[in-house]
This record gives sequence, structure tokens and C-alpha cells, in this order.
Amino acid sequence: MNNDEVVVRREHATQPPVAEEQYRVPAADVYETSEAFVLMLDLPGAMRESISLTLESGEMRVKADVKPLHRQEGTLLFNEMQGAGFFRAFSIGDGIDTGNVEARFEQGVLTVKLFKSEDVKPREIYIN
Amino acid sequence: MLVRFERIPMVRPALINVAEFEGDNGAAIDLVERPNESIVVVELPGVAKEDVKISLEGELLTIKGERKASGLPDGARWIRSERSSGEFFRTIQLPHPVKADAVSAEMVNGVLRITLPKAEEARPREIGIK
Repeated sequence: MNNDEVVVRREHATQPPVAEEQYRVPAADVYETSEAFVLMLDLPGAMRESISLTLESGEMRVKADVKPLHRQEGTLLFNEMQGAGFFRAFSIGDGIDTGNVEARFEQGVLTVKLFKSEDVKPREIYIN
Repeated sequence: MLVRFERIPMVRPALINVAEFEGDNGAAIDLVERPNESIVVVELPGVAKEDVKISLEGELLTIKGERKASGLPDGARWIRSERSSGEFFRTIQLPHPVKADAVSAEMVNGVLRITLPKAEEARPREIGIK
């Protein structure tokens, strides 16, 4: 396991994040391959430890707290960074093997690979 | 007056997002002024530091570069593509002249941080009373 990997936690009965409106919705790319769904989310300023990725009752939630410490260092003259971080939820269909998820965080981008269940993967049948 | 609430049907196919991305995708900038320097912070997720150019012309700071598109592997198909790619360019007016040879920059977790020390004449100084 390298340093960039994010631990995928499975939590039950998690409360919705406090004051969800303070979180920005991060831009996401999603693509599908024959074996997996791959999501990429922009989480600039997040740290690996501040990202929580949960899979629970058909939903994947990504939450990243960002602490813009520079704002306390002086007088904020120009201010475009909004919110307390990022939050986004995706609903996950049945075809995903929730026990087989990979995630890593590099250059402020979280990449999550959700592998498909064996029974939905395309497979070639050998003809005798 | 009676207000009618309509229930919106929920459709949940595999992997649909719940909250919509609102399209704010540009390199957001913060500028903080301190007594002896200013700090400019720019959000550049997915941008390699080799792909960023910072230049200073008087009190105008320019950050430009390129965010390379994340390619689609063979046989894959896009479901959602919101992350921007391509060239970006931002210029910001600094609140003071800068000691240009002392500017430093670092990139951590998709955030660029540029420290711009003030030129001597722009620094606060205490005046002794004779």
C-alpha cells in the first residue's frame, strides 16, 4: 500500500454531514470500463487524512475537509475559495462489488475505482 | 392560499450523483496580505508543477499553465465529464510592489502557494521620534 492510497471505510448509520451547504460539490469525471467504474474528483487543498470515503446502503459519499489556514495568516484581500471543503454523494447500483474498491489521492485529485460484481462483467463463452 | 407540494420521482440508476456540480471549475484564488509579504493561493487540482508558469510584471502576478486531460482508457466510456482541462490563465493585481528575486512557490495537494515578499519601500517601518 503506498502513501497515496485512501482507506475505504464502511460505516453504518453515519449522520449526514453537519451543515452540508458549507461544502462545495467537487467536479467529477466518471468512466466505465469492462471491469470497473472509475471516478475522479477534484479536492484541492484536502489532505489524504481529511478525506472520508464511505460506502453504505447503496450510496458512496466523499467528504473532504479543507482547512484554508492561509486565511488566518493575514488580511484576506481576495477571496474565491469557498466553503469548508467538499462533499458529494453517488448512488451505487447493484452491479458493484463493494468489497473491492481502490482509492488514491494525488495532486488534489481523488481517484476511486469501483470494481463490478463478477456477474455483471462481460464474459466470453468458449464454444466447444 | 394553498400551496401544493409535488413529489419529484426519484430515479436511481447505477452511479448517479445526488448533488449536482454547479460548474465552478476555474482556478480559485485567495490573496492574503501580511506585514512583510503577500500570499497567493490558487486551486489547481490535477496540475503538475512542471505545467505551471508564474510570472511577475510590476505588481501584476500571472499564473498560467495547462491541466492535462485525463485520458480515457481503451474500451472505456464516459459517464460524466465535469473536470476542466486545457490551458488556464489568471492575472492578479498585487497590493504592493514585490521583491521579485525573493518570490517562492510550492504546490501541495493541488494547491499552489506563492509567497511574495514586499519591496523594501512597501514594508511597514517604525519611525523614531526625535
